[in-house]
Amino acid sequence: MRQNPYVERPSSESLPTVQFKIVFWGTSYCGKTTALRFLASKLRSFLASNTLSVETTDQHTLYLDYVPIMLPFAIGDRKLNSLIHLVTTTGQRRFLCTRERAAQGADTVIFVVDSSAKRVDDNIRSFDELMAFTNQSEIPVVVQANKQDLDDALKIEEIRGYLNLPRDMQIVPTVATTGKGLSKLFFTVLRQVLKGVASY
Amino acid sequence: MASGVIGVGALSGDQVNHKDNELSSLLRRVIDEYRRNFGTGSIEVILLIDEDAKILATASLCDMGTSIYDLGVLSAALFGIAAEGQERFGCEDFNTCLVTWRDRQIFTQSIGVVKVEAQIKGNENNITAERRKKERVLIVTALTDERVNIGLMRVKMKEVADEILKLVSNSPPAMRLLSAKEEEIEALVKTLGGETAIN
Repeated sequence: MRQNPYVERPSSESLPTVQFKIVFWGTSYCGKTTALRFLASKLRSFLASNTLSVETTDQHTLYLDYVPIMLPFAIGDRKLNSLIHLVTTTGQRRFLCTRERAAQGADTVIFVVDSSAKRVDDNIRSFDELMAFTNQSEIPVVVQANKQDLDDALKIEEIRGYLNLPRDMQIVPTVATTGKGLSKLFFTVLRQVLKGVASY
Repeated sequence: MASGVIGVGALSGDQVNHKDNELSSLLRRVIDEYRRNFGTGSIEVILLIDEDAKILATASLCDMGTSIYDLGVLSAALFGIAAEGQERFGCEDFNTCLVTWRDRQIFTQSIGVVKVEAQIKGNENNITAERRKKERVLIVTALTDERVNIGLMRVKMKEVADEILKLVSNSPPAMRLLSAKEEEIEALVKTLGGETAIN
């Protein structure tokens, strides 16, 4: 039987809790699960429960990967707990039906771009699919330009160009295999979500 | 596909023909026998898939517009969730899963494992990964209306299980599909031009 992976809970359990769902979306093999697993290992002491992974035999996401994180924070004088549901969707074309189901109810979507010049068409297809999904509910999107360490990695502005992203949409360069840029990405997204909470 | 060699050669569209093969005839027999012997309710479609949602065979009486690809993926996801429970609660192997709505049912049953020659990533010391490297669980899943007697379906499926396992093990196209990596399938989907062109 699997060992219980969570080691300690924050001492702020009695605080009011707000919940967010942050979804990683992107084409196949772009690094969604790698990024999620890196974040889960870095935030291990804040894991609220067991992680869940429904994957194929060659370890590609079949339904979702799920990591619940409990982080305390404050808005002004008011202390709160946040229960953050980090979820990755599937990337393969044939798993479309589970992708949309896993992404439902997202507060923010991280669109993971495979920065390789060879994956431009795949990224565009996945981004169009995401836009079709999020436009109905106006979910905010942050772009993660992953695999920036590749020799053929496109620059941030080139990615912005071919995806037709507005100038104010933030693109965070990352290398998920080493974790480079992932902390910045996580806190960028968190800040964006918390802004929404503060406005209530 | 190299002739007569199991699990060798590039994956092609011929290997994903799941509507008209010996396996689909067997599934069709399940539908026919259920109708002839019991007659209650209607079976929309039966699929034979593996735990990665690769569709090996389908059978239905008439086209009711059901997306067999979605049904295959959802059934494999059910299996995946059951596998998670297996690890967490220390349960034994997955057997059956039933999802019921007011007007429909999905009935998913594991019928056994076949050995394949696939390689996967991951920790070699992980027993589950090691098992998965060599075996694939075959799953029969049926979408029916609410009147179909699942107990009787289960009996009918068990009757053909051994025959299915034998046929799959001796079928080069089926074994090639089972051992195909996700990258190969994704490439084939692109070649054939869409999410639902193949599974």
